[in-house]
Amino acid sequence: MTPTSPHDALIKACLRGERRAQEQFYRSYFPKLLPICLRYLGDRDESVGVLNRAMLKIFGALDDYRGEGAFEAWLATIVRNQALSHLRDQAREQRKVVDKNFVWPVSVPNRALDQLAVEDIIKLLDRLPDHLRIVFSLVVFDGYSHAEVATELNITETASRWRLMKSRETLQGYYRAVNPGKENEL
Amino acid sequence: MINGYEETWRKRMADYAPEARNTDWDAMRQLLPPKRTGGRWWKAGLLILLIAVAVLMWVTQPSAAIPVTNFPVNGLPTDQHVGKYPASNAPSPAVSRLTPESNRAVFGKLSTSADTSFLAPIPRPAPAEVVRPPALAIAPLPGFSSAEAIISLHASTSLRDRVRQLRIALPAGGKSGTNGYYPPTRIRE
Repeated sequence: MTPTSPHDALIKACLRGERRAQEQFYRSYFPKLLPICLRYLGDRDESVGVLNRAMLKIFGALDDYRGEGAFEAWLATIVRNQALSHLRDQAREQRKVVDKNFVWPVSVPNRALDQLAVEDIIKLLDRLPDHLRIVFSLVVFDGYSHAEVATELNITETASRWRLMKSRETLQGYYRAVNPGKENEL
Repeated sequence: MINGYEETWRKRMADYAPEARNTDWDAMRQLLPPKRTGGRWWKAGLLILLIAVAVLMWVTQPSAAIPVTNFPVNGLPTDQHVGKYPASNAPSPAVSRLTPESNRAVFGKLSTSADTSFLAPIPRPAPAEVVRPPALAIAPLPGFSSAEAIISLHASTSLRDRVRQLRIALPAGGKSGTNGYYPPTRIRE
């Protein structure tokens, strides 16, 4: 194993199963990996659960890391795949159902959404249906092309584009709904 | 292509780094497998200990082997052979009994010479007795050796000669019957 991370000693200690080193590793990479789960899952508790399962895989796969690419990117890939797998498992249950009675505003100016804090962004993302939030997160936050999204989710590129467009409309509608007094600011 | 606010969202999300709470680590710790308790080391240590005890018992048991002597090999005393191959400087208690020094202490001057008269004769196994199977003894017929019988049988096989031999064997003057023939023969007249 030839990790490029500066935490080589920490990684070796984790491979030996030292609990203190594992905790240090966990607390070191938690801030960078949890937002990935939050983008796809929204809810923090659910995101932490998925992240912990991903961390369990990481601890078991540290020995397999060959130093190809950045270490954090390797970790992010594992966490992202874990989140997507979690969403696929729950897709049958339709965890988040779109509120049929919700009235979608036509549009919300970008400048209003541009001023949102991260916590508000996550709250808005959490209200998106899974199939929309996944495409939105892959394209906006992870820089996936529609072709890559289509491959990742086993859908067509047209479906990917449609989902991205629908997610944008939905986010604007949510913002309008949760900020009724700010309609004049838009 | 992403909108302007989405680019802002991406930057803000990249800068977002929430710290892990203790409850998060507690949940993670429950998922982790239990730390190794050293069971494998305990088993390996026990195995090594057993092997060490076995070797120690094998070394310390009284040896029934013939003690090392200065029996000459290729015309040279053992000491000279040993001198070619110096022993290790770290003698072990078990091996020290076999060093030339200890032999000198036991055998004195004899240990440096090629005289082997002090040695007890090497026991050699006695030659095995030849066990012969008992021969079948058939007593010869009285007054008739087997050689004579063979000769008489193979001398002549004609009936006339056999009859002649029988006549010779008859007692002199002995006639049976009335016509003097033997065996008695009835003659028609």
